[in-house]
Amino acid sequence: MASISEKLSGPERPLPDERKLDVDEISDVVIEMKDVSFGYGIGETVIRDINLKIDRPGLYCVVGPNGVGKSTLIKCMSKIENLSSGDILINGRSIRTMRHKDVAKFIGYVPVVSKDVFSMSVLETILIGCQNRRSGDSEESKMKAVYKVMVLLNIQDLSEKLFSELSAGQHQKVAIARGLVQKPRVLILDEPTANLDVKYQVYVVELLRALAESEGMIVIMISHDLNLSAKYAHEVIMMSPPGVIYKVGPPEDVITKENIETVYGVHCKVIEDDGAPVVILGQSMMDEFGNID
Amino acid sequence: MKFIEDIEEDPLIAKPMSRLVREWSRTDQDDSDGYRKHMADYHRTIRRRLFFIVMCVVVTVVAAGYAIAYGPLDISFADTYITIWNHITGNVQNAGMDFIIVNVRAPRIVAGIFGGIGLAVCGAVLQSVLRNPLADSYTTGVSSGASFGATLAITMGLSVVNSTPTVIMAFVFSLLPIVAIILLSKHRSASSPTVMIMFGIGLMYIFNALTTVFMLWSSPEDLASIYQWQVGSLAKVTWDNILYMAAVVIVGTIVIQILSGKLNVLATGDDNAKALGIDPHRLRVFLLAVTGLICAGVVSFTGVIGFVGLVTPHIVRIFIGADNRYLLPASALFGAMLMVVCDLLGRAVLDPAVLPVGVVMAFIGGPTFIWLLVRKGNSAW
Repeated sequence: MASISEKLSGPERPLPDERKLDVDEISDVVIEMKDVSFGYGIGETVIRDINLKIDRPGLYCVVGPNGVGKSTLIKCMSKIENLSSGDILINGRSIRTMRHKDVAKFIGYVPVVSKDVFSMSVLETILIGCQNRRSGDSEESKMKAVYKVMVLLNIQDLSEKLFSELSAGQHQKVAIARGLVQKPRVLILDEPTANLDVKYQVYVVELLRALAESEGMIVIMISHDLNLSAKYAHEVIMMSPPGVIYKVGPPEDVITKENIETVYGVHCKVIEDDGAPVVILGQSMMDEFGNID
Repeated sequence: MKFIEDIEEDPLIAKPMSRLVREWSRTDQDDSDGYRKHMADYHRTIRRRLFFIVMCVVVTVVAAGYAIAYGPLDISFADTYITIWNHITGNVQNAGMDFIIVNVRAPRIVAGIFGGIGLAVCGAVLQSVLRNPLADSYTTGVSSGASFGATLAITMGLSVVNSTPTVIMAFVFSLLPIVAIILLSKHRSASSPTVMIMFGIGLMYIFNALTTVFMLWSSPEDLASIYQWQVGSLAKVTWDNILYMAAVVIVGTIVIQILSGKLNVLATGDDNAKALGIDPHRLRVFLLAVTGLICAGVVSFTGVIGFVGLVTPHIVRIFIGADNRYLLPASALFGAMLMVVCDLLGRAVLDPAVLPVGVVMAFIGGPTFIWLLVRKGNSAW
């Protein structure tokens, strides 16, 4: 059996669909977005005509310029926003007919970390994630789940600390723990690497990738770091104005010079390192008046 | 289903990480020393909270005894409890003392207990629901609405015979701001907690202005009773009043306590609540309605009593944290304790002059609160 690194970076890379390591099993949750559009006001759309099918486990990075609708896209998937038109099917069932509770059984959502108004302890903060567990679940089993996830993230020594006393990296760990304690099959994260130093950035993506591979989970994260996405993602979803999906596929197909220049309006060079594309940014594509939009 | 046989083969993932993830997904850690320590810590925290709650109950019961014993006619502390016990068991021995304790002095204390419970719970819930440390019955317009209703009843001469019209008017008008906030929140642009509380503050000013206008037009006698109503007092509450008040407070508090776990989720934000399977808008509207009812049920009988609703939850949070499952009962009992103690001090300190309970509470609680904030504020918020 060829090693993963060979499979990932070898010259005879199989076609994208078979590329996924040893598995061509379909994941146990399938998310299908069909002509999805969403806008906050009437006649205004943030994302439009999104068609996307995610049926394989893996780490999916959503990239794209600011305001392009990345957060909106993942909020629609978690039923945090109600669709304006189109439909999202979760295992064939329309999200429109599902209650928040039903969606939460499949999908865990980790929002951008913000300080809560009234800070609870780390333990209580993670315990909140148990909200949707079966009501028959005892306090004991919830505590067990919380402890396990704290060990996974190595934050068991922080359990009595207040959330507001933690560092940014620890905040992110707690937020991910709260998402994981739900035991979701799909984990969706809004910029989990924002405000983190490189040590924590790498930690977070390694963890998410490991979860996807080991647990067969679908992990979808928003990221502004193209190189991090290129290196760790199994697939990259690139969005471009006006709120459409520009390209979906393995990093080397999506993180290309042409795509970045078109979508971001920044000159760049893309080289290859160990099979993954690496972006070296150049000048911005300003017009003669200094506008970049 | 496993994605691959061995994720340790993935060069992008550090070995300890793959080990941790594998352990997380495959093993049960319930018999490790770490887990036992974790559970021990957790149980210690719970015991500390329960101790705080029990202490509040003890102090309330003792203070209530002193408060009933205190008065022009000297009754001993022990006699107070004996008389109450005899009354409950239907074995009245001293009819005179029984009358004074049960019918003259006890209503004031019992009203204080239920008032304290109701207002403190409302404060705690409103602060979590609206995610704002300044939320209480004032900043949601409930108190001002009640004030206006009472003023209207007094100036229009509806309350000459008895106080029932004042109570009804205060009740109705105190519910108006909450109804308005709920109706407003149907508009998407105005459904955020911050907009709700700002709307409440807007209503507060409108009602205050209206109250002022009516006060300008009213007679000196009416003005005196309006003023008395506005500073709040436990003196005039009767057993009949307490029946209504207690019913609203007890039912409301139980309903809210049942929802306290969901309230924790709501307090972390709407997106998070939806992601955890809760409809935040529906829950918020329901909780606003219940707190509105509790608050109206208390304030329309006692008049506006400030401070307890706003500050009690903050003080309690400093001691036992922000988990609403414990914060709500602890705030309720701490609020009851504060009311009884402050009402007693209000009668005892400048005897025979009586200070309204709200004023005493502000005098004692204000500096204590500021001291606690300075000491622990940064870590608690």
